[in-house]
Amino acid sequence: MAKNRIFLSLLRRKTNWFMCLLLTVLTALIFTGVLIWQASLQSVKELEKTYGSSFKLVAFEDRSNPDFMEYKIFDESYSANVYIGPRVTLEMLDRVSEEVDGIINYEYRMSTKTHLFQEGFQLIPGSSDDDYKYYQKKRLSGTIPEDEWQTFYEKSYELCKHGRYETTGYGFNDSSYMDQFRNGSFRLVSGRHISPSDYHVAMITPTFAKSNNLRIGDTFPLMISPTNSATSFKRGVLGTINATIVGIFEPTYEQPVNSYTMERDIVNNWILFDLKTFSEMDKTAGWSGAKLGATIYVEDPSMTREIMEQVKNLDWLDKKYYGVEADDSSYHNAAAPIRTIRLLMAAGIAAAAIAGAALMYLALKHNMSRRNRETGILMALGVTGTSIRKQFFVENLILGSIAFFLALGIASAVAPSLGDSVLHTLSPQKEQRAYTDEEIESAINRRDYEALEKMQAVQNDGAKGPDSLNVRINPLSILITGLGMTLLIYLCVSEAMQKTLRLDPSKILSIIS
Amino acid sequence: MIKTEDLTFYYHEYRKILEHVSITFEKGNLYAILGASGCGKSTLLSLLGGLLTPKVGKVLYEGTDIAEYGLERHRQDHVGFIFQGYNLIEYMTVAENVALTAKQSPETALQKVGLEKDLWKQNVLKLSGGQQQRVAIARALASDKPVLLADEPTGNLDEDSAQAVLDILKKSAHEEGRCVIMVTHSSALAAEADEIYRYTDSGFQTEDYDLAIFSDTENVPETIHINRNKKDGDIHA
Repeated sequence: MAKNRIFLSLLRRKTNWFMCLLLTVLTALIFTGVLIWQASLQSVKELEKTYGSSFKLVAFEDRSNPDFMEYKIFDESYSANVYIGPRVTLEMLDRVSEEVDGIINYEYRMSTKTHLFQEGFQLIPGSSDDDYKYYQKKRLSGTIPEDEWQTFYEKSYELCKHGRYETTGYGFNDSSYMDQFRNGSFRLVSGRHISPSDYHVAMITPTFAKSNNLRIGDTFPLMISPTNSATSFKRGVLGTINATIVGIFEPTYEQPVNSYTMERDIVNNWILFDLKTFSEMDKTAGWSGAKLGATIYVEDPSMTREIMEQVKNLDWLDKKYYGVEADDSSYHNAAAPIRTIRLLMAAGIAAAAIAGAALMYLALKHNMSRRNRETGILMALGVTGTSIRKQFFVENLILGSIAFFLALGIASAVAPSLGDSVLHTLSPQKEQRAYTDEEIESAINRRDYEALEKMQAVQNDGAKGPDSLNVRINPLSILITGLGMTLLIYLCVSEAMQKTLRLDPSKILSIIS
Repeated sequence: MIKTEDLTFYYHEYRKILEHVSITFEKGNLYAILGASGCGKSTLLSLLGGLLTPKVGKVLYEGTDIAEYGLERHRQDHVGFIFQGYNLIEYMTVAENVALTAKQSPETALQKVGLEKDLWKQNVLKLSGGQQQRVAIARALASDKPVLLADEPTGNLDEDSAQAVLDILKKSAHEEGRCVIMVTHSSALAAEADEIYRYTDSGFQTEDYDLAIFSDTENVPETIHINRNKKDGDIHA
């Protein structure tokens, strides 16, 4: 008989369908929150894999130690102090990899203060940080009188603007591990990545290739200059490296460039080398490229900190000159909006669950109070409390199930776009634009050094979080929401029914009347 | 069949609604309980039906205390209610209401109360008061309980409908052997019952003879019936 009563009640009572609508809305809210929350969890995990799986082994440069500096004369007309102190070497990295478990690869890169130049090569012109900024500072501080500045300006400005045909080089065991490739800032356009067995190979950008009429397989020379030539336009040539192009890569984001952008920061000027060649260049130049050391990749991101400790405690590693540093700023920057979403969704789900439970309880209580008379009649007619409780529970469960599937459909439709729009809202928008020469000159004339700093700041890494949260319906979210809803209905019905069904029979009369 | 023993009930101890009531009701009879509104006659019905628990005394069904048997089970197995306000489930049809607790065919019960077949599938709210009360009686009949408790069953009905309802109740008692106990404030209706109890300020009394049926005094008979079916009108003590 309870089946009949359930069927008839569901079919005939309009308030049931209002309840169903209410449950649908509340469940859709909770479901949407669960889906976005789960997607954000997954995204953070994926980011951990791509960003959070490395650390750096660095050498502490000590230029004050005369033993580490060597005076060199180049081309009989140029001299420089070259750093020859401790550096992270390939041999050191091999040894670390052998002695510490969990390391899968390493990347080696030079300092951005080092220069490669290709006289005659066409680069995207930018400024020389060391030169241009130096003179701007002097001009702003009034160190150089205006009349002298004008003279200097006429002579040097154009040259400063084009730097010294300098670019940045990186050395890799496997270029696919480079941050920019892992975080999607760069992509391989043609050819291949640099692998551990390569020697004297390089990867360049399509812009570089086109400007200089280079193709995959072509070999080109690069001259190596010392570092401490900041205020000189003369170039000392320490050696020349020939490299064969094996791959073409390009940035996937648009890097705004102006004449005040440092030339070596312009990614289309960058050259990626194999590690052996790079190490050779490093030794030749006496660069302090080792200062930035090597990036070491671990297999399990959750083990990164532990492996860092193991490397730090290697007995042969002189702690005076070497150390390990976390390399997770990119990860934190990229994961920040997603973590915020996760927090927001967790808070949202909690709020929706609490509000939903409260509303559902109130609605059910109201519904039950509207059905007190029916309950009383049924009890007077001899229908047992268990049977009545079962009727109301099953009724609400059926309504809840209908609401659940409707909510599933609504949430599936809404959650992906809502998640993405929250992600985009929370993702920091990096202001990147190319400033015009007029703007730069205006800032110089205003002596607005802060504005000039801003104009020179450049985005040489497109590191960012995912564009989309990739919200998907999965069995776990269905299970979580379904179980949560069933539990909520059960609790609400039990709580609401308890008050009616556990009444002393004497109250039934008053219920009926 | 069903009887009360020294039944006392009150909501507040200082104002007893029923005190030391001992009445026996037998099957095959239609009983009328007369009294003014609020005098406690409906309370007696509720105690008999297991809707209330006596403060003192017992309600026995076939010799078993219904409190021990279980009030819920007692309502389920022994008593059917007919209310003044019909108390039908509003979202159900006539047939569905009757079928709620039916142990017998709802159709048979509906035929017994004389409701036309074309009304059976109608929502109960579309029926007149008399028709709704017939549905309520049909529901009680279909549940096939040996005791029918009718609380002012004709209170909201016109004279014709009231008579029709009364006829059904009489038939149910006399032809189907049920014990039908009817609470009413209408002496005219009560006059058609087999036995009548009137509730006065001094308690329940048998009609005509004005004898108390409850008392603290041992000398007063426990129950006194007027059996109108017995032509000699004997008074049973």
